[in-house]
Amino acid sequence: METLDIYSFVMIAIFVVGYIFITLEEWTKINKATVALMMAILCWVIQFIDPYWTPSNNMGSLGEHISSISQVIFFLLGALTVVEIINVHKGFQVISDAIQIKSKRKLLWVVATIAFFLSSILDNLTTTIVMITLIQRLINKGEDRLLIGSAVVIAANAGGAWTPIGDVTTTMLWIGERLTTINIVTSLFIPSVVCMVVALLFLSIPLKGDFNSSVIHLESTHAEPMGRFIFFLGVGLLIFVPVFKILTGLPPFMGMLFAMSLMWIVTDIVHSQYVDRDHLRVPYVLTKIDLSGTLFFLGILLCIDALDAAKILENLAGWLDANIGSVNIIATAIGIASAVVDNVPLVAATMGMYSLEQHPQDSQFWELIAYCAGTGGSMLIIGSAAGVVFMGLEKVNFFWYMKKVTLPAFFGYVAGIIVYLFANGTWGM
Amino acid sequence: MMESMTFDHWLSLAMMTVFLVGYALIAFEHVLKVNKATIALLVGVICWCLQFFKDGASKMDLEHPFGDYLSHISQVVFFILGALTIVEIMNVHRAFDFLSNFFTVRSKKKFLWLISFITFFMSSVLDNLTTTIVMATLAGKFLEDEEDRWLVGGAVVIAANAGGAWTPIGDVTTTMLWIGGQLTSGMLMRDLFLPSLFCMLFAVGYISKKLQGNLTQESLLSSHVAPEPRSRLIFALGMGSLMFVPIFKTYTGLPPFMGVLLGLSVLWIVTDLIHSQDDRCHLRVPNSLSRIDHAATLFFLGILLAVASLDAAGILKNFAHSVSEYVPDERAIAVLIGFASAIVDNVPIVAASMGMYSMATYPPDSPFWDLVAFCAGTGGSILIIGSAAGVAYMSIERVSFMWYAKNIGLAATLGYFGGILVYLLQSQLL
Repeated sequence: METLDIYSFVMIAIFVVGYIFITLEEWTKINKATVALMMAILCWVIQFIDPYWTPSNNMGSLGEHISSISQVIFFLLGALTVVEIINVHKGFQVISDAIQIKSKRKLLWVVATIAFFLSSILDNLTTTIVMITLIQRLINKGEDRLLIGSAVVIAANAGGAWTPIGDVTTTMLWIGERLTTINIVTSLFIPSVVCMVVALLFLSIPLKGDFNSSVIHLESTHAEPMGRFIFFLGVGLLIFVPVFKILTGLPPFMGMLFAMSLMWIVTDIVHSQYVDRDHLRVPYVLTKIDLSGTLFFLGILLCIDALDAAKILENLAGWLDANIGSVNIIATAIGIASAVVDNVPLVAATMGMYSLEQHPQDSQFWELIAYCAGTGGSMLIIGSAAGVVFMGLEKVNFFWYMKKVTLPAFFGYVAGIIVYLFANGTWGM
Repeated sequence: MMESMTFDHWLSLAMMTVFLVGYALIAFEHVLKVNKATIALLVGVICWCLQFFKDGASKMDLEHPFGDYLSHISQVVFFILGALTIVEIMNVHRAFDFLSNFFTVRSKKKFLWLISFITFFMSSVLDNLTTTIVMATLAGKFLEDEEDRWLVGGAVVIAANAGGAWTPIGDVTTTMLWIGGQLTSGMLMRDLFLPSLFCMLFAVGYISKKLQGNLTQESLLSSHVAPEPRSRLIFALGMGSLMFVPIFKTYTGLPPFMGVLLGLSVLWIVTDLIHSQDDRCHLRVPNSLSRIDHAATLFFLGILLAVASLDAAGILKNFAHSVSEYVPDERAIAVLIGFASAIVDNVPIVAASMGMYSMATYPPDSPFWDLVAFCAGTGGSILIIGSAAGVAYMSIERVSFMWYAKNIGLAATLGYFGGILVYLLQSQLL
């Protein structure tokens, strides 16, 4: 931390001020996407004028970051489009026909359980998008819908933590040979389940009784042509995305673009005969996609990467290491930190800081990191990709989430850690 | 190449086939009714799949260049997204109506010339893409007849490409040659100004024969409806932020897309502030964002991905090598590069030619590099998908590939050869 020069200081100040503006969006009336973009650009300007870094050094790190950020952005755009195509075809009625539940609590549990298992195969982002869109079809806007949406975020993050393909950070640790597949699943499945169950127990307290029939749409309305077909095609293609990655070795966003372009071609062909079906075709669907949410994402990711390029994140981790001795506490703290900043650079920094000599493969430290970074992000809405997408799709207020969800998420997080430590017989170490 | 047809060669062949088939499907979009953006995306994905199936290189060797290409491609895509949004924000504020005071001409021919000249000089400072987006949108407001609009739009594309060729900051490919040291800015502007100007004059002269009559009274009137509040401020801010992009790049060293995003976020903050009180949702950025042409952006993404895969497979380079074997004359090579840039993106072509021909063979400011800059910059106008400006125009006005080839392609070819002729004459005289 002794290397905190004026440039790093200004960068941190920009980040903090921007962060405050984002949380106060309600009062300032300035869209958070533009604040995020502005923060990102200013931070990168600081990084580029800091004489400590050479221009070629900077261009290199910006180029690498852009390449990984754009993968997330294109992935998100593709996923949103596929889901929206299904949506305009009223394809989600297939699911809502299957879920005939009126009780609020039951619905919360069913939706969250589906999200938990879906996200162990699909990534958290897609899972959240699909499930949030689904409940948007099912229930009218209101406090109850937001609570169920929050449950989806917690379940998606918890479900992603225990499989190597379910979550970016677990995948990173898996590819980086910190953890092996069997070990992740056996050691983290129970803590992840406990994390979700405890959080949902607290979250479901304010939910009572049944939904009015005016709020919940269980009966089928008039279906669009090819609705069922588009639903199964879309879901099949989404599940195909990880398969595509394994088969070709191409990054997931290419699989998502592939899925999107197939959906596009199919809808163009099946609707080409009819003039009155423009609302079912992709150019119209694209106008309904939330681009400001995507730009918010772009800004936040760019900004975090500037902090990463300036080695601020790495310094922070070094400081943690010097001041807090216990491995378990560091892992827990990393989880809590991942609620504030993106967990991807955090895990990347951790992997850079601690070698395999210090903590060998499948050691407790890496297991805890996988669990904490995966589930800790649920505590704040901007702590995980799933949360940010939820924020974008439902226009959730930062403080609303903090008031209603942070504590349940925290209890779930801690409960999972306790269960993990007991199971390993290392409680109190 | 034939005697050693390995698995990798077959895959390269398959990539070329996929590209050509996709290309044909894009050209016949209006018959097939399948959107060109999705075909471009599919071609991009399939070509990269084939490239990744090659066993010649290990996975690590493949992922690294893919990341590099992606980083470059996404910068272009974010740039377009930002520029389109800025222009759309100005558009919903009716900010361009303010410009219409300049267009007091009545005759369509005079209007065409005026628009073309403004475009030519604007694009020598701004990039071709932004210029085309601004000018084509503006021109569209004055013309009612679709055919007239398309003709003027075609002239805008040609003028934007020609105007970009003669300054180091006006066009990506010229900038590449300038940064690479193949050209110096003073010599470049001296050598290429007249050829570029004549390229535009010949082409626009040919197009103007097809335009007759006066602008109708209604179209003049409809462009004078009451402007939205603060339209002048938005106009000044929008134009200012676009022009600030190259300055921002020079001072900070950050890539241009960051400058565009800066401009976008400034405009966004300003519109959020000035429209926060009233019920003016249609003037705020989320509305503008939903109005921009996403399909065009995705088309761009697909095309760039596809061309990058051909480049990664070494197909572009092999092609250039075999061309230089059969065509010994350097000027003929430059002319061919121009034609090639009408078919594929000119950035990889210029990059490939910079890699193929060393500075030892052709020293800085040699006629070869002049011609490469001119040809790659203006040759792209011959087909609508040959330049970024053309692709943008295609999406703004929904012009079909074939209409452009029939009506504008000839004019662009005329201008292209006219410009080369002027260059050759000029180099005899100087």
